[in-house]
Amino acid sequence: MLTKLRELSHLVPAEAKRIGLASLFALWTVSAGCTVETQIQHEPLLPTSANTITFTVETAESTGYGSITSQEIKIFVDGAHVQTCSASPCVYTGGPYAALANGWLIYHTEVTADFDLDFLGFSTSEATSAYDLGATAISQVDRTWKAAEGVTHIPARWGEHTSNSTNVLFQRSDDYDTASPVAGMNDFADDLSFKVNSLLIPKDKIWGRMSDLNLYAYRRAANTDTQECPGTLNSLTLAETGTVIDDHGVMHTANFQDCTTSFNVFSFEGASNTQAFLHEFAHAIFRQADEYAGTTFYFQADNEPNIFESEANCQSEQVTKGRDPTACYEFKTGWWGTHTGTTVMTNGLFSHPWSLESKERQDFWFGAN
Amino acid sequence: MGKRLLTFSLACLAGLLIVPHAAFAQDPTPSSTDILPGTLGTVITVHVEYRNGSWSKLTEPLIIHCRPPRLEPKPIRRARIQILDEAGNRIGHRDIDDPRLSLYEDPSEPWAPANEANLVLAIQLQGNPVVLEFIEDYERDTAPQLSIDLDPIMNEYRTIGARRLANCENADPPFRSVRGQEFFVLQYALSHAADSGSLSEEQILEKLSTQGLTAVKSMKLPPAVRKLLQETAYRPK
Repeated sequence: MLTKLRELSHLVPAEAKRIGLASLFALWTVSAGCTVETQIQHEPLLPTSANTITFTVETAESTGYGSITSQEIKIFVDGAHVQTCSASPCVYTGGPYAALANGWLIYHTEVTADFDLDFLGFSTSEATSAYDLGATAISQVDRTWKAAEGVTHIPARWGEHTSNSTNVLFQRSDDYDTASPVAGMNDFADDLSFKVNSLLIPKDKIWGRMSDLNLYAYRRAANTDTQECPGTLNSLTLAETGTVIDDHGVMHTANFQDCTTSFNVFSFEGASNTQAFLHEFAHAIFRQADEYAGTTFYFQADNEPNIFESEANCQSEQVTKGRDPTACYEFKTGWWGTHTGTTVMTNGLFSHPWSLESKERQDFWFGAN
Repeated sequence: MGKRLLTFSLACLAGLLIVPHAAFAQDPTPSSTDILPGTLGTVITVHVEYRNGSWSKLTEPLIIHCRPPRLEPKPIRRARIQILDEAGNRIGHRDIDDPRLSLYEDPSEPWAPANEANLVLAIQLQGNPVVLEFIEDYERDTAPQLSIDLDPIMNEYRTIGARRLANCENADPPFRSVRGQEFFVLQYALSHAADSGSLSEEQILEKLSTQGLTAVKSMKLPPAVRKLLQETAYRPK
């Protein structure tokens, strides 16, 4: 675009040129997306009325066309302004918080950032703003939340109305409860906190988009006695949660073969950075296919698939996106892709990257949800 | 001068991007404070399983107040849930992924549909259905594997209405309805907007009631607070 503007600039008188270029510049600054993005999260993910809570805000530039010269990050908890920072990350620790009258602890961040922009001799500063909001339950110390009303889930990280977001309910398998259900629930809460706050939210492409996901924890336990994938959801789960839940994640401690069923039930080991969590989560939520060569079920998703059922489909995608069609290769008989090396969909650790096609699939998913 | 031009240009651009909305007439109905069960949707559910080569129902159907099940535009392997009226006409359907489709970690055997499956069939209630049908492999065979009589539950629904589930009603923090408008605002955002500007909650609600969500643009609020109020608003589909 810059080259084109320079080519055209000799065609108009000087002042008109300045006015026209300024207008184009203004249009460009908006369309180029010189904006700040932000993400707020809380730790622990399932706080009780005995816990202090640490709120962390991070910010990032949405594109590389401008650079943030200064920023003001404000943290609000339950509507009260509690922290101001001039750099990311911004951290505030508060609480313990009593279980509130309305049952929710809502928090948010407001960010104002100044950008320096320089374009064809026009230098300017732009101020942009962003917000992010989260909400969680403050459960009783025994992990009950609105138990008197018959509620059996605990809101872990809510970002937007359930009708607009994908709602994921996590439940522990009964192998967490070896010592006691109370100890099992506490261990599950710790492991879920790690999985969500250290692996899911910070993961490339998911960061900053958590408003499209609402996460809940279930107080009842699933059954993985047979150590079969994905375990059996607690028999009351489906009746108790109605149709508000879109996907169920079963977290277990034993090491067995995990899976995703019908793109809405998935399993994974709880402790540490295991391969299953991001991998199965991506199957169930984003409908990304496996990128390894094996004997699994391969599929080409309807929009922005990460693998292709024909070479022609793969090459067409490459040409459409202005990329080299010869990058397509048959990674599994009858299935084509452009990914190389280790990815989340070949393996699944946090350190493994998403393939380019997986990233585009997620861009589509977050845009459509 | 460049900066003034830039500001002017941005203002012009913003003006072009704002789509004018019609003002709405005042509705005397009082605001309610929460999303009520009636705003959640009404859904028919029935718990079914696949075992020993066939599908069967595990429970009798229920009609509940809950968020309607999400619609998948194009499932990977399409199964269908549909409801029929007395004349056998389909009055609603929902396509889902085959419940027997499983993706295994490091599979050692060729893929095959699972031998067992367990799910709750769910579909939004429309009209006066008498039968719910489930078809597992809708691409290849449209004959239903399950036909479930809805007469008893429809009779109950006509008498006492839909059942309420605590988890459905407590899945979101409190929202406030806006009189005469088809949307709700997050109570937290409303309170924060009132704290951040010169308008009270009632005055903000009044403006929203008469002008819709575009009223937020004219409120003297920090830009991030405007976004907070506007983007957390919930509009039932």
